[in-house]
Amino acid sequence: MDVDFIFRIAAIGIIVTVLNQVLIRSGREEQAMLTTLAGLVVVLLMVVNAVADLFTTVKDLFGL
Amino acid sequence: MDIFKIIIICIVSTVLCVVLRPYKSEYSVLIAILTAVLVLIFVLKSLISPLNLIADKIISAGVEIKYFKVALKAVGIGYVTSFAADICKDAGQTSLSSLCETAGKCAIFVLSIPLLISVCDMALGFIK
Repeated sequence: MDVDFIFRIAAIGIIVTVLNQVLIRSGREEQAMLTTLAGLVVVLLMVVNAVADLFTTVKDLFGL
Repeated sequence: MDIFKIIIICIVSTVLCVVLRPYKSEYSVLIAILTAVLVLIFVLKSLISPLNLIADKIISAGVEIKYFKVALKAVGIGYVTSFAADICKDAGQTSLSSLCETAGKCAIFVLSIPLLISVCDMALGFIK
């Protein structure tokens, strides 16, 4: 039960939010947008991997 | 399967979701999905040994294992469908969540067709 995944995603979310504000305040809106997208892609990859694990577990267990 | 660990994880991730909602609402949905996935994996892993026990008992009793397998598949589809439907509802997409539920119902219905047919054949056999 790797619980640190949840805290890692929360940390990424907070860091991206802070970075976003910093970049917007310093006038670089495009980079702020890129940072948001990059953070989202990283988090989505982690979540998709976890969902893939869940589906393989369900397939093995229930013989689907 | 200690229930307290699961409850603590759910509470902590709920707090994290609420913290992140005003700034980045997509992260709160992703945290909710990830927590649901982790808890489900943990719970399903602890289901393996009891299910094997039941399967062995059924085989030793001489009952046909086919019917138990179909029931198990239906339960599996039910779990996955309710997991997806609740997450879609949580994210605010009620139409997608009812879509998942309909798909799950259709899948289970298709799964149970052979059983219905065998029951009908049995019944017809008695009548004739």
